[in-house]
Amino acid sequence: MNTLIKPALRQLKRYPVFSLINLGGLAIGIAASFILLVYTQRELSTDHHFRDADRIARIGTDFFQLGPFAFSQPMLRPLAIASCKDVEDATGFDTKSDPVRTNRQDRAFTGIISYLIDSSFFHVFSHEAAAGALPQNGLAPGQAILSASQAQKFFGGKQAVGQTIYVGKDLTPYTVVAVLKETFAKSTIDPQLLLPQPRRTAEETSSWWNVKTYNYVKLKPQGSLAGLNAWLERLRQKVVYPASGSTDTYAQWKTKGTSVFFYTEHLTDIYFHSNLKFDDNPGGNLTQVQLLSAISILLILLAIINYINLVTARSSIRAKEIGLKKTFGAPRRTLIAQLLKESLLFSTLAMLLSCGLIQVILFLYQYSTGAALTGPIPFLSANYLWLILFSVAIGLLAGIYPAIYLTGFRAGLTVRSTAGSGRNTPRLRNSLVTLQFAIAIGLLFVSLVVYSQLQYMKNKDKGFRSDGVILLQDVQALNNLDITRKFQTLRHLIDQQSQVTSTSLCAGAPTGSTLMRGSYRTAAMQKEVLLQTFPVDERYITTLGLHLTDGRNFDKNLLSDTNSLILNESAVAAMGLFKPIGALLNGSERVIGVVKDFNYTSLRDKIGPAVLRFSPQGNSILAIHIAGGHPAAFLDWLQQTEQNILPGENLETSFIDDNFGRLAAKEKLLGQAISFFTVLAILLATLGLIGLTLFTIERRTKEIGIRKVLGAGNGNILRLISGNFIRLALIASAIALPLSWWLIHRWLDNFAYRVTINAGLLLLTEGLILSIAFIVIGALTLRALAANPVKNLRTE
Amino acid sequence: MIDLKRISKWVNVGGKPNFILKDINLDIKEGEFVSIMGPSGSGKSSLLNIIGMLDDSSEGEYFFLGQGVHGLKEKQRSQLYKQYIGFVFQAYHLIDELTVYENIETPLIYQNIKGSERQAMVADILDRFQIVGKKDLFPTQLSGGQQQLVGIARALIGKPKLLLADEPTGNLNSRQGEEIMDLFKQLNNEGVTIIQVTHSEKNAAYGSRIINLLDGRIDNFN
Repeated sequence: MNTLIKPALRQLKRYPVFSLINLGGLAIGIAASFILLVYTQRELSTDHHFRDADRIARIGTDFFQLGPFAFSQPMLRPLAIASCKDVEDATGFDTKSDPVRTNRQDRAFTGIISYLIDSSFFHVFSHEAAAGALPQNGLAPGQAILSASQAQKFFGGKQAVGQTIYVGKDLTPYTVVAVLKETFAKSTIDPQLLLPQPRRTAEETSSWWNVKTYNYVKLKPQGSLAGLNAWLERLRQKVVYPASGSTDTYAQWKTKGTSVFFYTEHLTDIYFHSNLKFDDNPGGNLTQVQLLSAISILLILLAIINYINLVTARSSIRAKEIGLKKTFGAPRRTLIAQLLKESLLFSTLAMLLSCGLIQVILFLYQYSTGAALTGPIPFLSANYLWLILFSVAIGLLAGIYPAIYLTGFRAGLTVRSTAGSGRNTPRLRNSLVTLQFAIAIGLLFVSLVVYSQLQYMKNKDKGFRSDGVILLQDVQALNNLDITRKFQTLRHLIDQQSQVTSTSLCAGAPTGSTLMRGSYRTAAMQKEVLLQTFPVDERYITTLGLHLTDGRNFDKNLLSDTNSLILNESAVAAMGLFKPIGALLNGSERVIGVVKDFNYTSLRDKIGPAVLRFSPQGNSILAIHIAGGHPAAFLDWLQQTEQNILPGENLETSFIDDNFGRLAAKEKLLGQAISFFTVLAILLATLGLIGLTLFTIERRTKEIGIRKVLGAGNGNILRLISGNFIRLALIASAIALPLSWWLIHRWLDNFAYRVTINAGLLLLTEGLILSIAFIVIGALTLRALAANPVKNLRTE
Repeated sequence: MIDLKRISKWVNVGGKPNFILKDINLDIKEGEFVSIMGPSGSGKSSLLNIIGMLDDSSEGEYFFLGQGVHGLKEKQRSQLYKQYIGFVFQAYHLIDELTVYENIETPLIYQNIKGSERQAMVADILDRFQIVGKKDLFPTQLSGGQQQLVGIARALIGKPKLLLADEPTGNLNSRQGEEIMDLFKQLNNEGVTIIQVTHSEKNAAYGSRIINLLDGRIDNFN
């Protein structure tokens, strides 16, 4: 062993720059692709960590074409437990977001999603406690369980179990009985606070149109989803259909839009494949996972290529040693083993280095993107076993070619030290460099396209004013006149603020999660259509900056306007109205205006039809447009005023572009991840290029010296050294650009509104790569020239 | 043609100047054939490099064709030696990756001579040195004598006024060495000024004048 390690370490010491580049490159490659590997592995196994995860399924529902929803009827759970023979147990939880306080006087923590759980929650979803004991049969009234992160947030380092928290506006006290253990595994079931489910009301246990409960069942080992579906179908026929009071026969009823439908899916399919509304979790993006795993393979490929290139490039030095050993009678197998051991030693060193680099890269990622790619990867976990296997594989992969190449020389030739004659630089090295360039170019191009698509989505005219609009939720209290009056006072004060240009009471803003359908038909239509409807007041168009293209706005002084509608252009088209103004819908509702299309979902989807319905009373959202772009002062004022007028009420404020931003969050994450790892890939490729250039210069020092003596200028030498690399880069772009163009087009096809890829982007990619290459080669060559290569001639 | 005035060259070793050349005064006229002799380490090659403008002196003045070289910028100096000086090395210093033809052509490329003209000039010199048949071979495929012939051809291709040779026959056997020296003599007769560094008395005798160096000084008593 000593005979291996000592010379190998001496090698490292003797060529410090070279070794650092090689080792650093390999370590970066291992670290980055390891992170991506862990990331994709974690994404792909989302929800798999629950005990019997493959037996858990969710039941969703739909009616009136509003859904399909991820949640369903509260009464499904008792029915399923009682009468479905495929089901072992079932749980249903409602979610809500209430302010939480740790004592009555303090400011509330907001934005916490709590799960109201029943007695079967832990039977279906296995959890472990970090502190306290999990009540396996559900929480008793007045008990609560916290997630580890919330416990930390509420109580800092203090013991959370036994403490009291106060939930909601009425400050209901709960005693914390346990804290959930944090897992590295990802889950769509991610409660921050667990509270007991209150008794179901009569309406909840009898109506098929009351849906708000996330219903999960655990199937029996011999049960199946098909069995569950069959049971649900029988339920529709025997229970739901009679309850609907429909005059149709069952056969007619069951396919109608007004019927009740059920949707079942395996828990493990939900993260990537579910597309139901009101899914609490944003869901995964399979394209992203695939793209990032592809990038992880490319990164490790880059690192391996670097290693192979740098090792074979130095073959003239090593070949002499190998040749000498051959003349002493060392068999080729021994020599191959020696070189493989060396590369294994090397990859082990790189692995050790990468353990530190992993943390650095994760930190840099979080720092530069503001989002964590994975949680902190727990140390000494199974993941790190993978890291070890991974680096052994890399060591072998990277070492095998150089080992065979180097030991293949005839002994006599190499000892004479005239190796490297003629003009053939190894064809393999050229192809590998081309491949490296191609990877860098392809990745850069892809990430530029992704970036410009994201910019495009951000800047695209959504048809409404998306910045400077603040939404105030729940500004009404149905049965409390006093509070309602106070709300009016608050709104009055808001209106008086100089920053505020306009406010509007509405039932929904175009934030993607709005869901309100109305049915409409003209006299000429056979069937009614269901269209997205926004109940609004007369200041909605001004506040949100919608563009009225035809007709007029609502007028609160016209009594007749309570039956008026304003349509967007898509709705006009959907209804087939040639002269929309004055048209009558549903017999009595008159169209008085048309607004330009505005996007109320995401840019992935085409703008849908939308109807504004005049409804000056009873709306619960106050939209406020403030001018000047300094909302912080206004928000401070708002909070103060709110506390004065309505103490104890915590009004939820949000920006309309935040809401819209959440829709683009998935794409944004993809963009960030791609650009981050593209930068790493380019760094790796650059390291390789630096190594190879250094080597080329070293090998050609004599030639450079001779040429200088023969009268070559620095420009001539620069052209000489960079020429080959630039040529390879151009060949690489000819391969990489069309390929990545084709690939990224398939991604862009997911969007209804997308950028067009123009020649400018191609040129930018090409220009960036070529200038990086040229700067690297140029700097190194000039450095070498400054050392006066003519001197080397004399030392020979 | 060459006028060296009080030329000294030293390198700092441990903070102390270590003299390689000391106070060299030398005047070489056009058409001379000068041999520089001396034991190893006496500064022969350093002197040749300074004359060939490959290296700077630490002190003193150097006039080439009446022009002060010591004050010139790198670029002008390079312009000057490209035009007037050809080099021949002991180790030939041919470019391994280039053929005989391309090796000879290289200086012309850097003198910005047009392609067709280059072709004519190279063909001319290949013919004169009788190595036309070797033009597509690589240096490693030639014997030492042949390589040196190519080296000389390359040095002469730009029609230099001055040929500098650093032990041109050092790596050759005596027969090849004699051929090379005969060639030098012939070139000198055609008007090329030649300065050669050599160990061999016999080779030195080809020249018209011998300069002996000892410990960095010109040894006048020999």
